[in-house]
Amino acid sequence: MVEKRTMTLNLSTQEMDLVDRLADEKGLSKTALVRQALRLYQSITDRIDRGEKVFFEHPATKEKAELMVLS
Amino acid sequence: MSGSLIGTFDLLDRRTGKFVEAQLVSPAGSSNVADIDGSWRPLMQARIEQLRSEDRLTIGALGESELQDAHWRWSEKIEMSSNRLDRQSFAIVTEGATQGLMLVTTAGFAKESSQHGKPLVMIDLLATAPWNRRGFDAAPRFKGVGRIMMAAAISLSVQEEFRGRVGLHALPQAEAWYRDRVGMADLGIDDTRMRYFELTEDQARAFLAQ
Repeated sequence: MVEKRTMTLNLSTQEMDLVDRLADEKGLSKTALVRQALRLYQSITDRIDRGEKVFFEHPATKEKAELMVLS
Repeated sequence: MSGSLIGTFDLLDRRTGKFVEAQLVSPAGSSNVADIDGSWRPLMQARIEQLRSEDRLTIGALGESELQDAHWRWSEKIEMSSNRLDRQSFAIVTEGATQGLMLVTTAGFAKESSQHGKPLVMIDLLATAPWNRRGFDAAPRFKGVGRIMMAAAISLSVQEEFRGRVGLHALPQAEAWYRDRVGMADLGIDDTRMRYFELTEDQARAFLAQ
């Protein structure tokens, strides 16, 4: 069993609205959504730290847009 | 070092007709990697060399011998996954040997129309030991490794609030199993040049009820 810890998160109304909307759209609790966001953030930053670039590609036009992560 | 015990399950020993107890552990560890490097890979490589010597080393022949995964670099993948929140590895062990391995990602999104954009568990790699494969061994040993791994992926999906959704790209040698035995939706060959399959919540429930 993975040990769990609790934290309080202070978000703006806009940020909390986004959490609510995304959790609803994805069918996740807010906790699961934040865990998912953390995984994605780690995945992206790991790749960038290794010198890779992260792109989004349009499925039809194949147009690519590089994801910019400002550090 | 081995991972934590997730549970014990029965595998059918085809040679004796009896069930044996197997342990599902996560994450896969150095002992599992050692089994692959020390047991799986030499067997697979020997068969590949045999095909090469007979001038029959083609994708089709590799599929008939269920060797299309022989190039998978398990040790590297498991090592890479060790510090990642979005990766998990599983191993099935019985009689002191690794009988199956699976590597999954928990940061993927579904493509099937009824669940498009919803999070899902992606199975990156799933393999049973070569001696358990009908195409590789005329008298294959244990039956049930793939089924236990698929059930583990579904359970992880449920635990992560993904409602049993699972996706994967299948090797040609495994396409029929995922489509016909697991009941996954076949979304066709995509730009990875592999066939993509996805399990919906209803399909996951039906699989577990089999």
